[in-house]
Amino acid sequence: MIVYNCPLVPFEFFKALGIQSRRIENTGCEFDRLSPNLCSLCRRSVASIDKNDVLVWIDSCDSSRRTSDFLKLTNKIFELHVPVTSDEEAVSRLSDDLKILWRSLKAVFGNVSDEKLYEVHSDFQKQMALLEKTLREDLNEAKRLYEQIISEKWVGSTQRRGKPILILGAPVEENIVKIIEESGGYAINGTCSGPYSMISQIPDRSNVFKNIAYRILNKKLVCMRSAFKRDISKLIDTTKPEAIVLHTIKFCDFYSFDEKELRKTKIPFVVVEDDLTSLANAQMKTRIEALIELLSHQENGIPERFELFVGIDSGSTTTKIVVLDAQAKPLYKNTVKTGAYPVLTAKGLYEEVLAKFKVPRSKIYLVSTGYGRASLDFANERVTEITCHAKGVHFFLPKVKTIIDIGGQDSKVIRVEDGQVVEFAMNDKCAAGTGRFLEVMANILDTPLQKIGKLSLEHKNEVDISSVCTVFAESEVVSLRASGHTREDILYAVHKAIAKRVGTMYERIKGTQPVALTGGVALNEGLKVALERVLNIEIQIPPEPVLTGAFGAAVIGYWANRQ
Amino acid sequence: MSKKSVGFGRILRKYSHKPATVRTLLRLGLSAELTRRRIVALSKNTFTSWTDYLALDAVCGAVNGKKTAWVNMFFPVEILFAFGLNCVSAEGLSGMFASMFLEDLAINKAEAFGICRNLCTFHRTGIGISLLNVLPKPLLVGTTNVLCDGNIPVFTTYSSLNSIPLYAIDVPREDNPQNQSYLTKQLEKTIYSLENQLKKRFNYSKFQQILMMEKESLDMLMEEYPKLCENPISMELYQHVNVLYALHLRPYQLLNAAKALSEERKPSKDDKTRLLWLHLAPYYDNDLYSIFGNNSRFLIATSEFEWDWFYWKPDPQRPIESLAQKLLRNPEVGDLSKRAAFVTKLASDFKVQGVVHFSHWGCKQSSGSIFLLKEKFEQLGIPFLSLDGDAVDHTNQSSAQYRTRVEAFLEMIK
Repeated sequence: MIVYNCPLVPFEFFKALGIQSRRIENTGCEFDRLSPNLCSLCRRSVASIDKNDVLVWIDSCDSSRRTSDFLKLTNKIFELHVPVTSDEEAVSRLSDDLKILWRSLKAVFGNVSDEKLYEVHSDFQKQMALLEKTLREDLNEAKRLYEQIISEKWVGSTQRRGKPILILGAPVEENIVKIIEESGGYAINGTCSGPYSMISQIPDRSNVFKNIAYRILNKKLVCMRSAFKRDISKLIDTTKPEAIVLHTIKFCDFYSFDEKELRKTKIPFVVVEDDLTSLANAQMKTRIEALIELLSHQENGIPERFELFVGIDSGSTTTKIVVLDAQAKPLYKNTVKTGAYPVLTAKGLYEEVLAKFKVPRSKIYLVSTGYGRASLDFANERVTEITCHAKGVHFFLPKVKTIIDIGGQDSKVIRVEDGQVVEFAMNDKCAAGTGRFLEVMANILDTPLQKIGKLSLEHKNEVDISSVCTVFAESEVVSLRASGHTREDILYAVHKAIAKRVGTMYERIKGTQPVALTGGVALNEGLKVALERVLNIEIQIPPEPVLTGAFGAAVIGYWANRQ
Repeated sequence: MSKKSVGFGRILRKYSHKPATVRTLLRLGLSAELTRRRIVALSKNTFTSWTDYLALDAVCGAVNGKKTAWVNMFFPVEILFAFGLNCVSAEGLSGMFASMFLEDLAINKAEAFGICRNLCTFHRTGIGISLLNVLPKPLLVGTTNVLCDGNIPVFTTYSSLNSIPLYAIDVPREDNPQNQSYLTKQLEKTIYSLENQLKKRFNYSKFQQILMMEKESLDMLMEEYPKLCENPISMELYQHVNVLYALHLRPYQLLNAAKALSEERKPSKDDKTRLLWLHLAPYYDNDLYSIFGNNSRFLIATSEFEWDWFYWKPDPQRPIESLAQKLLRNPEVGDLSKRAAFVTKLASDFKVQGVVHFSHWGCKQSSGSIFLLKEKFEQLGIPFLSLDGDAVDHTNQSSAQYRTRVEAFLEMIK
């Protein structure tokens, strides 16, 4: 078996030799001798290699190169330098290296004539041309062809059902396709685990090695390792997506650079960072669902008449419920700690409402949101907290254009127009810029969480906490205390540090006024002031900012019913 | 890299919303500091005083903005100098911002632009500096895909942000005649494209002259090598960083430094514990500077980027081929075994008792397979510390952690 790391390999060789090949894959098991700063895909795919596998390894990126340092110790490995440039010299260089590789592979797997290789290559060329054509016409046929040409599993939708969503960036697996399909879209895989990365320009030359080299170096969608040649606009023109998911892998240097190009297109997009864990999967699900919600106004007519509209926000720290009547007048609200059993907590809150209002379940329209929304199978609809915050704020403050939501475990900045999400940025990777950061700091300074905001406003001097990391900031706070700074001064610095972190996201999505602050942290007057000063804006706070998400969920039910 | 820089940074920060003012202040401040360093070099005439001067010169050009080219550390600058261009190190610019504790301004700007937090802070800060609009636009940017391949998208970004040409050179990882001729052709093509862009004939004799001067300096340094191994010169940690900038960005101006080195050292035996420093060191004032300062019991005998030209002999008669060889013979380019052979040689030549590898955040090429490097040194009985940190972003580290880990390591080897 030949195992390769990157689709820049000469597939024609494997076919001509008649040897099975497969790409490395994420096994879920980390190879911990590689540095933790290395790309998650490399760390998690070493385990997919058997010691008897023969490796054909492209020096596609730093992580791949460092991975091969280890693989050389255990496997037979043939490394191939694929130039980042694609001019005539690069083609000649690669062609010469391909010749050497061809000889080496023949020495391992048995002799095959160059004529056979030429035959395979001509066939390969024809099939590629056919693949390009069928991608426009018949996805099932394209799938069959793709799987036949490179012997890899097709990753992407085969039915054009729902909204076309293009995936760009680092290679994706089935899970993302599934998220997109479940959210009402179909996935067009523009990463190198999909068919578009295979399409190439092919000249007809007599030298088979030059031909293959040319094919490898002149793909229509070039890998980011040759950033100066990469042009995603053609793929966008061909596939006409309604939205784009930019898939980046933790510690991959390359693909976040597509973001600035996507900004020029005006097509809604979301950047997801994947470390190939189930947690990352949940985070990506929230972002992708929100993106697809942003496309549709959720205006599917609902036949029955409902008497109550209930929103449940199952958050990481607290679970909130809001009940509206048939005229969207708030009737009831409640907040409890989520605890260890989020579903039971949410169910409990819902049962209370049923008991209190004595309305049959069939007359209640329930929308769930928050991290736990997917588990609440008794809800009529599940909507991400991003859309819900937009709707919730719009309900109270219809003119608001930007929402800053700082929750217990994450923070978001959402740009809206008439209650409709236009763009958002989200931080759920680290505690900096979240309520958790404040909790940690309150704890070190021995001050009740509820008081820290007020106290911070009594600061006399300005000090700074420079670290963005909660752990480092913690030690900075300790040393500030040791050097005699007052608690008030330090608390103000803590609030400023969060404000700066959130400020980056605000700038990233080009936030505009009026701005509303939601989430539990909105009750903290100190943070409001710090944000106003750092961002030089005025901030409004909707009534019950903790409940904005749940309000939004209930409002979505109400509007859906009115249609 | 001192309290002075931090103080200057504090003033600049006050005007961060006025790019034109920052530009003027930077020009004044850096020009004054460059003049000061030049005077110190002329009067002290020591190796480090010259390299301190050259390292600053490698970033100063950016603020003056005349005929500048931003390049990465391994770009063949000799070609650009022959065209009369002023080469500025993009990594050095990030370092300069870090030394003034201003890198956060640039990093935030880059993040707001959509650059992810995993990317090395040299690159992130560089992009942020471009976006801050405090430096005049360069004429062009040039990069190689070594040592790290983040260079390509990053320099592509510089090029598109400033609407200026990018010269990218693809360096294969193996040193063989085919790759030499491939690289030579690329360099020739680069020269041809530069002639077209600059509308200027390439001054071949000046180019040869540059290589000749580089050869003279490197020959002198090579002659000093055995003596340095016996008796390394004492430098501040940041001065090691300056040496690598001087060597890579100002290779033909090293003559004064090389002459000073051959004259200055007095043979005297010291009983300091010797260490080899691998990869980079932080550019901002931090605890490591005091731990390894001149008064320390520990001596950083040398660092790897001071000798990465070790296997190369400049040939002014065949200058373009020679520059191709310079890239291919760099032991840092290629698989780990090349680097391991080179750094273990340095360790044994300099008779070090320990090795510190500064594992810069987000740098995959240097630290990806560090485990294997550590094993190599352990086989030689040389203790090895991989010190995680950030060479640019001072907020992404904790001084206390540096101190604890380094001190424990030093206690272990003493």
